[in-house]
Amino acid sequence: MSSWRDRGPVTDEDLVAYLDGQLAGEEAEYLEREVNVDRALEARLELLRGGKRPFADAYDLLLRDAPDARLKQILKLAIDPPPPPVVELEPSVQETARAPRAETEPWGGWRMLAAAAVLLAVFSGGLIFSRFMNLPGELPQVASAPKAMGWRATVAIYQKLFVKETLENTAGDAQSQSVNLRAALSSVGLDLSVEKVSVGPLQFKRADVLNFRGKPLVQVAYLYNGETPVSFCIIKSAKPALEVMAEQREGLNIAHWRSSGYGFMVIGDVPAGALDEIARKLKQRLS
Amino acid sequence: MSDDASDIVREGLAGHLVRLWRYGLVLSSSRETAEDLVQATCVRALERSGQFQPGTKLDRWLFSILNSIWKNEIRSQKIRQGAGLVDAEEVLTTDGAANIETNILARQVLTEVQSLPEVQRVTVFLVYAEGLTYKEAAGTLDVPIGTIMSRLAAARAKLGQLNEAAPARGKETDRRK
Repeated sequence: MSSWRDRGPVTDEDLVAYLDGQLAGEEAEYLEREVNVDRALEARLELLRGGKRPFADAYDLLLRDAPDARLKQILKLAIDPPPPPVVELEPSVQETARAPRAETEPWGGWRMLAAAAVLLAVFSGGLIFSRFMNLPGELPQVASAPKAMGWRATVAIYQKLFVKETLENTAGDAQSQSVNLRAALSSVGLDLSVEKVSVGPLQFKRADVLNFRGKPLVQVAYLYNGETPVSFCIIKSAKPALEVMAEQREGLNIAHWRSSGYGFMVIGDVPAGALDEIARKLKQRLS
Repeated sequence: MSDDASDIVREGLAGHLVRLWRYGLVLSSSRETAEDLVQATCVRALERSGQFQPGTKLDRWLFSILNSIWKNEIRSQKIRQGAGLVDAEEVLTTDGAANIETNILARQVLTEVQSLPEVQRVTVFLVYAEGLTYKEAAGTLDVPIGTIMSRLAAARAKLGQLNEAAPARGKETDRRK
């Protein structure tokens, strides 16, 4: 009578539906009769019955591990995204405007120009760059897929080139550092002091304005404990706010977040926990 | 009508965050991705809240959204980045010594389920842990009911065989809830 019965022999699907109480009376009765006269079917039923586990209890274990507070924060930001330009300008923007850049660049001259040219090439041509690098395991990129790499992926490839020596000779005095930082940040409409962006074991080295697909991208470069290059990068972003998240690219740890109309990331070859802490402090100082 | 729907979604989301996160974790095996999925699901659900039908189950609707974001947007990206399916044991290891002491069986179950192919694992989770009907699971995963049934059958056959390999295993546990 029932349609599944006419389909032929009883299947594992039928048996599982039976075990799950999904079969109506008549179908269940038919299946029970079949099982009673067929030892192989009976064995199959027992095997499937044995495949039951306390699934709900087991998965409840994961619920206890959920990041409750962060999830609430995520929802709050989704319901009520903060308006874009919130980061307050500090009073000394004018100082930056007044300072003639050529005179105050601590590492100025041809080296700066050469570096800038390389950086622009890297950031505006992230794709070409990645093809050039021929990264292992990556599919060959097609030239007509310009959106394949996001800004974090591009920064990661660039950051990977940094070594201690890249940054250790760039020390300037406090004032030129301040001018350098403020000039770079002004490209994205921010103004922050060197002290404010130097958290934990990060020693400020320099700030650069880069170009990512026509948008300014600020890179603040540091040495972590005087040894490891770490960058704090900022780009304007229209995407919704996002809590601090961890990820790995190019073997480097990243902590990234979005707020107030900006995307932020901290990246370097330092432990994820340390980066997370740095990111949270920066986020706090910027809000 | 759609105002009602919007209110239901807006007010109801908070009560489902933790389960959405767990579903994201089951799908992606990554805590960070699970958070990303919750975030994207919240944003998408709020955008489309007018499409929610009052009287139907909000959690099922949210699960479907999360699933489609995972399937269409995140999963392929993860795999392309080579950041895909990480070691299950690592992800499912809960913090805290107390948990480890008292939940050996539960952890063992998670490890076993995690050894199943992704589609089977997710189906087992939705039907047996979240309590979705076959039909609801089919709707959430956007596959025919027959596919749900064959995935469950395959999963249970595999787990049943694990039993036979280790016949001394305890199969039952007392439910906490």
